Amino acid sequence: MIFTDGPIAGQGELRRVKIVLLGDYALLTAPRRTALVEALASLVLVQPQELTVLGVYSGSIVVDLAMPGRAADRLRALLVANDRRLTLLRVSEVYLARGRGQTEHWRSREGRFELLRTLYPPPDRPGPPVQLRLFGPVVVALMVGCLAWSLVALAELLAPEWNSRYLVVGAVLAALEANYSHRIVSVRRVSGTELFRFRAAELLLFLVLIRLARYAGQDWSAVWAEIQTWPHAPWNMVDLELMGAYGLLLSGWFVATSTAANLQELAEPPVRTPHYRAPLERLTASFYTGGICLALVIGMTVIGRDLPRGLGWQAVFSIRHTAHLDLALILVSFFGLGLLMLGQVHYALLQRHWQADGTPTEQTMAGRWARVSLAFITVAGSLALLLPTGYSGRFLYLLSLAVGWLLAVLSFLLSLLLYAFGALFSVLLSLLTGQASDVSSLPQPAWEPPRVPPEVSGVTPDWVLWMRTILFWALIIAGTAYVVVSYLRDHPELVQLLARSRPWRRLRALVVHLRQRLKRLRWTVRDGVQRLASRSRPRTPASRQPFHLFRLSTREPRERVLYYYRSVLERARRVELGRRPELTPREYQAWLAPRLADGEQALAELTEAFQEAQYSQHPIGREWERNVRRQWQTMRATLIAQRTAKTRQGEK
Amino acid sequence: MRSMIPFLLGLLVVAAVVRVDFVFAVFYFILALFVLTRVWQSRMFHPVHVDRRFLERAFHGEQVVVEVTIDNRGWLPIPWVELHEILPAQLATPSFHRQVISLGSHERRYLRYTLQGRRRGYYTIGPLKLTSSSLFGLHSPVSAQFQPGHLVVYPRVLPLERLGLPTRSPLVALPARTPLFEDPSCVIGARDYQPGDSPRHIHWTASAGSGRLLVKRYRPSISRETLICLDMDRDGYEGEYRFGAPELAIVAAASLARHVAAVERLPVGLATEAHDPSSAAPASFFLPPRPGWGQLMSVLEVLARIDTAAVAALPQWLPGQAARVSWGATLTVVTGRESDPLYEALVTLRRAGFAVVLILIHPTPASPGYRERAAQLRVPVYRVWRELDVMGGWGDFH
Repeated sequence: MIFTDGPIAGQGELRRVKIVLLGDYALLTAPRRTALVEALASLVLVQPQELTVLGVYSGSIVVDLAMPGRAADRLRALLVANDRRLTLLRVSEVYLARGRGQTEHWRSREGRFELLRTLYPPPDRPGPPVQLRLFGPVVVALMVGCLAWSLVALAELLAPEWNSRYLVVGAVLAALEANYSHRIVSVRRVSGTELFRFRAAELLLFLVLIRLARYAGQDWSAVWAEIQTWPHAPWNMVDLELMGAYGLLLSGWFVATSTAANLQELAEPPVRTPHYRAPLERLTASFYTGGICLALVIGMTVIGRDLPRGLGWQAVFSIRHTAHLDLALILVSFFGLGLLMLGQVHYALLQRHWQADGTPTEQTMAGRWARVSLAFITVAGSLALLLPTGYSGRFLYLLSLAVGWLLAVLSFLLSLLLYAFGALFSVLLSLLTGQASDVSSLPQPAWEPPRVPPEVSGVTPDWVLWMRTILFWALIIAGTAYVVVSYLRDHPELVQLLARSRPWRRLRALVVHLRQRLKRLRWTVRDGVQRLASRSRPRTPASRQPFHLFRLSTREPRERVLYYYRSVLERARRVELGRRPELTPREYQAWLAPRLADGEQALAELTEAFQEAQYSQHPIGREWERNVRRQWQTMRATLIAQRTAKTRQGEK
Repeated sequence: MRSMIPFLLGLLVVAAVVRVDFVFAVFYFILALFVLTRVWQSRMFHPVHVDRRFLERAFHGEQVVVEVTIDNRGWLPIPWVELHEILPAQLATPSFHRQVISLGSHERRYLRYTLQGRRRGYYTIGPLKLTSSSLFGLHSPVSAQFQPGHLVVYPRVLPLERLGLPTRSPLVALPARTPLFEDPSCVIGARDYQPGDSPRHIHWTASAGSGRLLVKRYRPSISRETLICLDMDRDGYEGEYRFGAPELAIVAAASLARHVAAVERLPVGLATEAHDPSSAAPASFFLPPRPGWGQLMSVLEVLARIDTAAVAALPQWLPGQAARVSWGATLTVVTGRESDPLYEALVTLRRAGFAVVLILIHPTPASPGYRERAAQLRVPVYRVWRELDVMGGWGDFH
């Protein structure tokens, strides 16, 4: 058999062929093998030395035909001609590499050779989108640098003698190298053992470079002395510091590699599998995770720097922080770069989509995209600087106080329990041994109040602090609530799922009940107040009062009924069901009723009431007006529902 | 977006625990970015106005240039908008127009494309769908749809020779070109005013009394009115020809109407029951015979948009429609299938004093039995069929 074990030719002409001949060649003597190779060489018209035996296995022999030149064409001609000499050499299959990476697969069937198939090389994997080829690796490397800087700052806090600033540069370089190596692996299709060797060499190189970087600036004689100890004590090669630095670099390298893979996948079509996550989603998740970790590490570093020596963890809630420009710069840089990156990734994805569809785009888009992004970031940044910060302490102080008390109580209960068990065990032991039990030797349970340091008080009055704290938390809660509500609006399926759950249904029923009660209460109070007011002073028409703002509660029942009808007209107009001027109320009712999803009865009663209010002379009762109000509310709900449905339909 | 909420909550917890000002500031920054982009995105298309301009009527084979104006009347720019205009596949290939543009504040952009009037019909142009999203991909894309427009492509109109019909009107054989249709000295009643009626015939006293515009009805004397009765019942055409034959019937009716109205300058009308795409339901059309170009365009407009449907068979509604035209008028019946009920209806009309012509859209001539019967009734029968033309997508008739 003649075969190749992989892609054996690149672009262009045929380069080489590997040959495997069937048979139990392991038993052949060397002269017989040589004779076989010579026979094969003569068949394809090459010199015997051009054929190299790569390996002899049980059942086959692998022969490499290097630089075949015309020999390949000759071999193909023999295959096409179905030359009997190939059969005599027990050739059963042939893989012949042709131009442009194609490989022909020939097989002998019933003594005849036929072209079974032509193998084509897989298409080249596209690289990341053009916009991200240079921008992406640089931004990722800088973000990795930010993460490394924060970790180094924390590490220096824990081990002040450790000078590890060089690791920040190392992490940035490692991230750049990760992008480059990923590109090489991707382009050259390195896989399997070769990939393992490639990666192992890469990681070993990192280790060596870190080791060398640590020796930088040291006395070379001391370095040489240490190196000389390695053969006798290999463990001297590694230490905790080295492993820490290596771990940091490897983390950065790993993050950069996975980001590079995600960036490359941006240019590839999505994979239709159930667990597939889009690259943009993965990149966003990585950014968010990195951001949280960075904020946590920086926060811990700030606390570590500002925490006075000798105080316990409870003091965390009462310390005053000072400015840390370096850490603030790192955090802001990380998020700024990340958002810039997300924006570019989003743009690249859209561009890819448009290119794939052949949709024409404008050249000016990129510039406007960048300008608007910058404007948004500027506005959001300005808002962030204006909003109050750092007033979470009051609640956290109370929280820490509560936790302290809880822990103290639990500790006391535990000591009580231990004392009771100890006493019981002592009594049982005394019964068994006959000796008197000594309970007094057991540790007595003692109550210790929690040790929470007093809150640091400043010159600001207490109530001002409380007001600021309340404002701060109100902002936080409002913002978070908006995010949650927005999310639920975008995912109505979640809302439906929630609406079906029993606790939610009960909660909703409770809220509805409370609203109804509140509404009734409000009406009762309002009526009472109005009654009192009407008794105390003569009523003047609301419309004649100077600078009067429209308030329904100040209107007469007749005016209210008219308002209800006009309100329905206005709402109907918003859903494009407005009344045409030539239609009478009755005609409009007949026209509108079939176009409503619900509320025909309410519409009829409202129309009737409107006509009565408009044209009658008799006084309009408040009770009747309330009834009309209910019809108005029904109609209003119907029209709002129709408008919402229409809006959603429009969005879809 | 999915991981945005855990991220924001996580950042908030971290900020609240460590109580570092700039961590809070970062939280605010992300939150503000989220809220701003959300609000901006939700209101993005509110100030955008779209105006689509094109000639809403086109003749067969004519090109229609559509110009769409997208006007951003707001202060906020929209960095990218994907425009997707859905077009009828019969008029445009591909059946959509897509483009990505960028709209600055108070910027107006124009989109222009051409439609080919390749097939008669009533077409919906659009709706135009605009899609955009925030710049950082924090939210799902939003889209807005703008109202579609409608285009009517008139049916193909051919000289009657090319349809194999006699040019000297199939119809009646009255020698005078300006006959007397109605006797104005003998008013027999009034009817509602219809476009095309002469203002001289308005019955002002009756209109004032009834509150609506009425015209006088005169006693008919001799009529050269032509009413084209087009069969658009799905069963009026044989199964294998049910797609091509109705189209040919419409071409025949349109050509006939043009000939009567434009060449002979006689009144022409149309009666049919068919599917009306503008109301998406079967409808009954009756245009009483009127002279002039306006009437011809009205007839062509109906012929442009109707389609076959499961409606009442021609013999059922034909006598009823005939009763609405003057005595002595010519009824030109265009259908795809001969039947006994059809001939019975034609007999009734013939006896009622109408001139009747049958145009059969069928590849084979009328059967000998029917042919004999038509001859006895003195009903001219013409056959129209050019199968090759139908197969060739309504190419030229030879």
